[in-house]
Amino acid sequence: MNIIEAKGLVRYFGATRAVAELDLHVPRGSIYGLLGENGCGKTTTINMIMGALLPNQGTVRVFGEDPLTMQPATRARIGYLADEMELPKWMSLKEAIELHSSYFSTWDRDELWRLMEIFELTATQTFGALSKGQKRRFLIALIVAQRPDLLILDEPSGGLDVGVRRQFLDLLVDIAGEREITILIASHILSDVERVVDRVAFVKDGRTVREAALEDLKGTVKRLCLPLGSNRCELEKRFDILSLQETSDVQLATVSNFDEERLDGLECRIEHLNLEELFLLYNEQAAVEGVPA
Amino acid sequence: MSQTFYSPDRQFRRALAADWQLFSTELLYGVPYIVVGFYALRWVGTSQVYNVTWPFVFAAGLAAWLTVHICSPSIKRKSALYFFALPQNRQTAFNGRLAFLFILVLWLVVLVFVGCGIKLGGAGITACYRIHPEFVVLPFLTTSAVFWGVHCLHSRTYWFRVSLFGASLVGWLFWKLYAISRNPANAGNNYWPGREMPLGLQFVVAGLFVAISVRFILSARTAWRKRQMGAVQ
Repeated sequence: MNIIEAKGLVRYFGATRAVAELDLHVPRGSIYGLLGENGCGKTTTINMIMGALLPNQGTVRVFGEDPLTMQPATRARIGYLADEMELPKWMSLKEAIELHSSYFSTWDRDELWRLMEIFELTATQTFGALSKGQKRRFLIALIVAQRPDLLILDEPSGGLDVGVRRQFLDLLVDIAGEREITILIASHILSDVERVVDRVAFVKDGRTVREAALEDLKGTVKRLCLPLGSNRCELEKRFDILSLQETSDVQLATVSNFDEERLDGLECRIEHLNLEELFLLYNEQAAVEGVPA
Repeated sequence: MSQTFYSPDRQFRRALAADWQLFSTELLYGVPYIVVGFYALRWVGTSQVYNVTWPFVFAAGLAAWLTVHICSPSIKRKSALYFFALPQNRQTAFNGRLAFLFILVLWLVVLVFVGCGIKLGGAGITACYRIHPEFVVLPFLTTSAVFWGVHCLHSRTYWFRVSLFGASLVGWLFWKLYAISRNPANAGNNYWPGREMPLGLQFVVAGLFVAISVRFILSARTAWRKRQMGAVQ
């Protein structure tokens, strides 16, 4: 069952199209990466998922409900961290905790204080006095303590230093291990996301160019290093070729339907692609094919 | 459990409590402004007659400013994202905010009344006769208008109506200022449209203001149902 289901989302800002025919299927219990360059429409998509923006076309369902008319009890199941989200500057963390906790019947006080301790935050600090990283950490602690079934994180590691980023990602993995939670992460820092996600969607110019389980992508998309002068027709018969390059000593073919049985005596070295390489590959392909107007 | 926790009644109380926590300090800001309203414009004319108009005008201005400050996501965009995500029915949140704003206005109006009471008891100062009903309603009307302006999508008709409303109000205030400064304020010229107007008719004027307020609020209520980031400029 999909927790988030988006079909054919389109959103314009004036004449500018921010999101174009975007589809998303986020299954229950997955850690889903919504990946794309800055300005590709990730935040706009998340705003539509949260009901803060209305799509010009298409539909969104979260837990089977329309975000605009979602029941409060359903909305309470969502923990949301926006890219740029703040609380009033004068507010102490204690006051912010009081405010936030009053909205959630599932509030976990012990979890909050555990995270406050891990993130080295104290209740007497005011929100305005925190650094950008501390603010992110505090907001993350707040939304995790509300014990959501769905976490939506827009650029969660933005402003966090390397150590804290690692700490935060480990925390996500722990949470996902402890309870059945679905996590949607929008990010452009792919090295971070690769450590935690099990399903990804690559977004370019507001359109989903590829949506798949990361394991499947890594298993089927491979780079084959072939000797120069290899028979291209023979290769095309066996595989779907995404890109073909030649260096001074080898031919590099990236294929999307790799299967060892298909090699059948073909002389080559197999290279595995990481998430960043996969992302660039599909992005380039989408750029070549072009986005329909 | 969650059904009771998210019942409309508890949501409403939570929305009211949240606004109180966020903006209670701002309610207190009203005091100096209203006091200024009592004293700052006494240079106008030379009469000892205490002018009750200006404190209400100050209260209306302050209420308008606070309404924009509290309601406008374009001003507090980063915070607005946080509040958008809280589990609350939009309509209940609307009612909570409206209730909070009207408590705020009531507080400002009470300040004017208290000020009037004190002034009326002051030695050597001519009594202030009676409170104008139309001015009591003015801060409520202004708040409703701003509330509507912040939450409705803006069209040419909107700007036309706002300009008309604003121009009439400003024009009338200038006229009043001119009338008072030309002839020292007294029982005859300190009322609009005149002290001779029966009290009942003054209440009719106030009733008209209330009707306009209600119209504003109902329009804003409809707009709120489909409220979204970016739609409010």
